Amino acid sequence: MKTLSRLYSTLAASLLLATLANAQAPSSLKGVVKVDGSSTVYPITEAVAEEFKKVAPGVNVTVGVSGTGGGFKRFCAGETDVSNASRPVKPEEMEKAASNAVEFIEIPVAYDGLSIVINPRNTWVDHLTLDEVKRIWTDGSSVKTWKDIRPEWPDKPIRIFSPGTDSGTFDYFKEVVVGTKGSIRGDMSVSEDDNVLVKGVTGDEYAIGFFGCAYYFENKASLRVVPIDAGKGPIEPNHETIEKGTYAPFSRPLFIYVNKKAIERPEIKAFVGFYLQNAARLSEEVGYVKLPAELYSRAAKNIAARKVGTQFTDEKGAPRHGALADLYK
Amino acid sequence: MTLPHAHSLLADSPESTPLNPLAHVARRGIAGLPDSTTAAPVALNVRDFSAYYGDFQAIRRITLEIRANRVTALIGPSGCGKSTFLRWINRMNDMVPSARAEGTLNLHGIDLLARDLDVVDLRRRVGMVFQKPNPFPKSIYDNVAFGPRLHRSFRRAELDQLVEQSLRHAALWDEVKDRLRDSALGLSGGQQQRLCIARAIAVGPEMLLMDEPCSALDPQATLRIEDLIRQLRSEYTIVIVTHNMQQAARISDVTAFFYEGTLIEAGRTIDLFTKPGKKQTEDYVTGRFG
Amino acid sequence: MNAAVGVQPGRSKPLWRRRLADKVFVMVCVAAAAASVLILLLLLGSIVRQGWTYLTWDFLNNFPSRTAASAGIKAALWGSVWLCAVCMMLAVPIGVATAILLEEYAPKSRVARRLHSFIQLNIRNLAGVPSIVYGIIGLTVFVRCFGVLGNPNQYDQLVRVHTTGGLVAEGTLIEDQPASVILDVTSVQGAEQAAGMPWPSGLEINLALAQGDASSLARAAPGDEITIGLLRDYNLPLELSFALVPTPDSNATPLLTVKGTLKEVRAGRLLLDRPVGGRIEIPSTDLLTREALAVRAHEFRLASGEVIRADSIAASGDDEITLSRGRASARAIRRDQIVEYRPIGPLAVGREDSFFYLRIPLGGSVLAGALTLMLVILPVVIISSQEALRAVPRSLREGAFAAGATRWQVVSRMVLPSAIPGIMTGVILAMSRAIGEAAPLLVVGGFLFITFTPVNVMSDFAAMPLQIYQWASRPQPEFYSVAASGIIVLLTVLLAFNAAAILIRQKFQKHTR
Repeated sequence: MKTLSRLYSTLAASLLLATLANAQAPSSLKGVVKVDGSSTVYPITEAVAEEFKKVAPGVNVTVGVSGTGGGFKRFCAGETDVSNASRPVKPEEMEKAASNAVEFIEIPVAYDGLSIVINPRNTWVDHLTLDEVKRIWTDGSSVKTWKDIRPEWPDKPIRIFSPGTDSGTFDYFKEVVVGTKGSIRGDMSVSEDDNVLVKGVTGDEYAIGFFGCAYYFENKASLRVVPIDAGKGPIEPNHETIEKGTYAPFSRPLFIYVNKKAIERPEIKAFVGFYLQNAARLSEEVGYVKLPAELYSRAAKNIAARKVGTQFTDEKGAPRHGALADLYK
Repeated sequence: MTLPHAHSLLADSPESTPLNPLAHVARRGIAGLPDSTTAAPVALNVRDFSAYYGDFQAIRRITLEIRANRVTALIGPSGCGKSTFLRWINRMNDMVPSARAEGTLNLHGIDLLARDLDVVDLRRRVGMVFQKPNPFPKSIYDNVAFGPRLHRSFRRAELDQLVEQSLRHAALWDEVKDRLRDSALGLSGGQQQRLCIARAIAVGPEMLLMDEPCSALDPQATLRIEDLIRQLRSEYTIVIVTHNMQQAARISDVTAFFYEGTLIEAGRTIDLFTKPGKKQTEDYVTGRFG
Repeated sequence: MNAAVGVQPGRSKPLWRRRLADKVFVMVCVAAAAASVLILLLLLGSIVRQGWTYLTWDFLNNFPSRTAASAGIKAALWGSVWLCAVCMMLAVPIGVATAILLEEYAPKSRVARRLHSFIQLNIRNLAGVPSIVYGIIGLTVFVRCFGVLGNPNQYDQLVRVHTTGGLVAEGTLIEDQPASVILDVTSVQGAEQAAGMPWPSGLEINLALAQGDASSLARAAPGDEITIGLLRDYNLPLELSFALVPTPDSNATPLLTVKGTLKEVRAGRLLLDRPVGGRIEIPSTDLLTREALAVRAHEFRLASGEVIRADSIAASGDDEITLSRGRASARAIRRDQIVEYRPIGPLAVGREDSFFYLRIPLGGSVLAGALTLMLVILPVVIISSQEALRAVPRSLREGAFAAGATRWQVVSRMVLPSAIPGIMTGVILAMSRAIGEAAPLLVVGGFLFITFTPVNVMSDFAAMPLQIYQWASRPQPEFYSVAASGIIVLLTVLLAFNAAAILIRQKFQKHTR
């Protein structure tokens, strides 16, 4: 028992003090964290939210799948706290955010590799050069048979499988292969469901297709991945090459964007902190590739410094390109 | 409203029905009733009444007096306007968007063609029975109680009594008293039509309009309805449209013959059938056309 | 052929040929029916075979998970049930009322008739509009209310603003017993779990305790009794988990979890050596707050020794407060008479989340989703209700009118009851469509990962079609089976809805045959 000569603090205020102090313990946190956006990033955020629920049962994390663009629409209007994105934010989306006085912090959370795959019975392909990939997929391509790629390959028609043109995967592939302005050939078998693509390539000796690495990792037995030579020799996508960035240019970073105002709320701060802590383990668990440890701590520093905006444009608003490790310095 | 006892109503059912269509008229004549046919007060006064559907004139300036507590039969070939006339009396034609009428249609001093006429009240005072029995898909009880419930709220016992009285009045009570809660659709055609009559009289009307009420029924059921109509005549003014001239002769006190929208002739039934004043009437009643 | 009947013109058709055509037609019909049933059975069979393994009680009771084995459909199931129920409550009355207006109250004037047929035509057109269009309308109109009424997310932030004001007491504290939570520690998970995390050293611990600091907590062993400061969250679960999560800005590390069973919760007590001389500010709650003030009652001991319990306190003058309990007794006391104050039983957190809790703009709530689905199915409901009303025989209407019924009496007592079986059929079809809709919900903002079921029409929701699609498109093959289980649940709910509608239909058909 202690005695104080005068008690200025109010009783309720002392309760409130305890409240504020305890608010930092996740178990006593309450509130709502609203996340929406990319369906590619969804599995990671879902895993993080699932784990976060265990340490912070009072926080309701909700995760939607409106797609990267749809997610940004809501995020930039201030309707969500966190946005999942399978590509960096676009300038027009930043403008919209600015007009709504929404500032955000960009946080890379994992890599998604793009795998180009063929049927296991395909014995002739040992690798493709980036140039060959471009020749196959560019709109108006003259490649109709395997022979058209390399003369020693069989004179059999090539069958191409591709994700739907609305998907982030397709967008990313397109940008790498033909740039933002070019277009991809139209005579492909297209499906929004990557599992359909897996089945398609599995069933056709002369097929080739591309989709997210997660689908390749899950179906290694029935698919053969094509190593890509982008000038440094053929490189096969695996956790190591993707993480190190040597499997270029077909690996893309996945992001979450956090509303700067929202992160001042303890439950959001805790959630984002938890996300960064666990992103490496959980992204691998759901089929993606973790970032190098250094990138996570740089992201953490960016959060601590409340560094807003994207690393994919410079101060003047011009786009920046390059490896993630170079962009996050 | 005082109701006669059902037993007395039922007393002269089928077996007492005269085989000769005109027998009762003759009998009534003997009983000295004919004079009262015209002596009764006028219930409905029709003056220069015309009715139209759009541009088509269905009824051409007819003038007629319908006497209270008498059965008035409207006869004539199809499309002669008799049904149209009937449906103007309780303003059922309001449901037809293109229908309009002019002239005078006066029920006890009420102008039936007035725009601001309360048709709901009118229909309570002028009941209608249709060509095809149209019982509601409800129980027998609810069919009869339907009308009263629209207008007033009842205590249970009051309504029970009213339903019973109406059914007795329509000579149906003894047949249905044990199955009042059964669907009305399970009744025979003749019973259904008597139920419709019970339903019409349950709201206490002064006039009943009947639009070929027996045309969908077999002869036996027809006779029962005709009997019923004769019983009801003491309490209600009845206007009946019929194609069946024997029926008109059997049940009506006054007959009006319509032809192509025009009222050719109206008068005591016995006169109209035995010594028609117009050639057209004679041709029609003798079956030469129509 | 018999020459005697040859007088009839035209060539005779052989009877055997007509009979054959008859038989062939029946066979074609049977084959078509059998084919569709067979395909349905095959589909169902393969789904059931695939989904059977994951279809457990846990599947219905679990929230989404990254592992197929613990993934569940609870949030999506209840989300869909709420959506469809609210949607039906909105769509059926509006749809049927519209149908009644169009069918039973047909206008007479020429202009009105034109308008009537224009509306009629447009309702038919609307039935063919792709549902995603309604999603976009729903987003603009319901979710955002055209953006003129503020940001739908504002409320989630306002929830945080709770108690303002407080009770200010001045005096010498004799005894200070803080409110406390006592826990039987069952496990302490230490730093090893967080090993390998990319966090630099230097932990900043943000767990402030009224008694015992972080180090004592870290030393806690199973069986220990720990007392911690009063928690804001009085809605305590039986198992508490305290995790020391480094905030993103700290250079922190390990994750430390102490788990235990809740043993006791004690309210605080404040004992003063002399009468309260200062101010008493009245606790008040923000109107937008969803959590009521935790303190339920107040106990005051007066200098005279009397103890007064009050539900509410109000200031009635500079030196006086009014204490009241219930409605009846209000009593003014002078502040300087108060020697002790004790808040009583602050253990319940009242929530205003009744099922009708409403706010505008609707945001991505059940109500917004249901209203959007309503737009999708309304044309179907209207058209099928119109068909059902039209099928009510004219003779019934005439009979009712002739009995002196007003138009509304005819509709409500005759036409509508007769049309209900037909209307229900249309509603079944419409609901089947609504429960399977994914596109508009995606636009309106249905969530997938959600760890609660709706409690009111303002709750966030998940929906089964979205969840099933997400499962089916995951790379891990186990999730196909989970998706199949989800489909079975969806079909079961659909069948349940249909069964309910059929029951209603039969109830109304009783007297019609």
